[in-house]
Amino acid sequence: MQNPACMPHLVLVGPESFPFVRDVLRAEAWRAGLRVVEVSMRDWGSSVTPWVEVVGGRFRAGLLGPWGDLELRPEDVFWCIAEGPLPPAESDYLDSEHEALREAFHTCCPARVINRRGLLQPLWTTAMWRMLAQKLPSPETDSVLAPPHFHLGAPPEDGQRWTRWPEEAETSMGQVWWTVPEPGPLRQALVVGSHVTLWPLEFEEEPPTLPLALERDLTRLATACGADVLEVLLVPSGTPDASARWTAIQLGTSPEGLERLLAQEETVALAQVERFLRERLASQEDAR
Amino acid sequence: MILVMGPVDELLTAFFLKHLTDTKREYLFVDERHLGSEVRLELDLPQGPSGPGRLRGAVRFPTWRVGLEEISGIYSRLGTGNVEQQRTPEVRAEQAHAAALLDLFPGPVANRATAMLSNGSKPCQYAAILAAGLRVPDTLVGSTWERWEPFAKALDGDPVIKSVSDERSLVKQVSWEATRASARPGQPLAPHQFQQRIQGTNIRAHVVGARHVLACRAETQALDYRHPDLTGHTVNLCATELPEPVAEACRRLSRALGVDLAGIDLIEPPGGSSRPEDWVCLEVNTCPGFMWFEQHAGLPIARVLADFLSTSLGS
Repeated sequence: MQNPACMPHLVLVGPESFPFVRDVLRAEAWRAGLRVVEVSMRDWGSSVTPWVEVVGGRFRAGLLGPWGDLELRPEDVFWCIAEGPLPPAESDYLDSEHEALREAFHTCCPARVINRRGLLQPLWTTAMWRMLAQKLPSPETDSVLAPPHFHLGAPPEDGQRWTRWPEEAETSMGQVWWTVPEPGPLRQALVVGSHVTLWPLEFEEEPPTLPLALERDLTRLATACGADVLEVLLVPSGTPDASARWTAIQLGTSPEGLERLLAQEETVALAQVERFLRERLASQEDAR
Repeated sequence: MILVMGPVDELLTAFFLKHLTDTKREYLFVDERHLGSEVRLELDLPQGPSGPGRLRGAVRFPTWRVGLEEISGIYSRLGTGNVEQQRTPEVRAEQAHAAALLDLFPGPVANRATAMLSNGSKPCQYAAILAAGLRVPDTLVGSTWERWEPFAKALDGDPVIKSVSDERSLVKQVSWEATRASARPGQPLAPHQFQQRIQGTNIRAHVVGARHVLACRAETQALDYRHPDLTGHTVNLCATELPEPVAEACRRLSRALGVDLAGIDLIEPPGGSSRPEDWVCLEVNTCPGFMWFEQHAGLPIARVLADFLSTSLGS
């Protein structure tokens, strides 16, 4: 048996929000011989704080917590599944410093990171609607996945049904509207590593099939976003003469859809995430 | 024409506008205070192939409008100058639309809102700096005494202390003993960035369009050449040419960070070197105040920037 002190770690931040995903992570970590360290969202940034060091051009990083100082090495795996705002500091200056420290850890941590956050990662710095607008359609001419039609300002009075982009309205007050021509039933794509599955979100007599071209575009989208785990809400849509046949209407980086599917005991979703974790926990490709 | 957005009384905005006027460039200016009241942005992004022409819209004034197709490039100083403004929902909405325009505009933009964020945490930039082939100072970022003591004691000389974030801070050299003595009993160390002091000459390289490199040498005895007077020193700024491999590393770095106007703080090693790995990069300013360097070193940064922003797509 491996000495626990020498075992690589799987460090999870915020797993309490996703108990079914956490169970799979725990099981796969045990199977791969990784020791699980869980940091709650409440503790992340308060009783557990990161540090980053660069000496001779080589990054080191770790976490200080109740267990002491845990340095994360390339053989470790880190996934910040969810994080909230940091506890308020004594001044705006210190707030910025704490935030910058956390961003530094996300960016520079030398462990293998799932869905790496940080200021160099577009998914964590760009509004989701802008990600869709910037990344879709992919420049390849055979792309079948498009963003919605976006409009900023007052909604056009053109007879189409325009919906306000909710996150933008809540955070910046930006008036961002979107519409989709002739939308079909709402579906959710789950991109986990290089594997994609498609799930209905409304009643459909037949389970949706995943066309190869859509699978390819979703994988391209996740790569362009720098995401290992990406949930995409989408609808089949468009006029018959349009080249794009699917519209992505939302991106998600927290595994809410995966959690729901695991809670429903969907074996395909379980197999998908197990396969990804087995590859990821065994490989060392992503280590910096 | 060039679209300039920022506070009219902010020094660099005014300086660049004067340059555009003096050189008879065509430009459109939006005073930040008018966003949401007299100026509104109208943006439309229909479904269709990606590329220039997909983003449509206009800058709307009460009685006239300028279509985005007439704009060749954008220079933004939004958020600078400590503008006091009532943040009504209309103002906040238009500020968000302006940020979206900076990110989505297909032509040159100095700088895109998202690309400027890397400066919010210096170590985040270090990952990009190292990848570009330049050195970074040995650094510790954190709020831990346990790490700080061995790090400080392993350095040759006392470390430099500065902010981790882009909050302006006076760079100081401190000893381990003095820092330990100033700590409040029972209180954790606030987050700080400690790093080795690098010997050499300060060089500021402005990179425009990830292509044009305009560098100047700051000769001073002060630790922080931006504030030499605080330590009773003077600074002499003069234009200089970077060795081509170092200039190319600066271009790579600007490209990697996605900034069309970068202010890169470098330290040239004593005796000089043309190897990028011998040059230390302290940080990349993503909203650089280039006026001081232009005025004192005679670098034509405003002209090069205006040329770049006037360049139409594809040319």
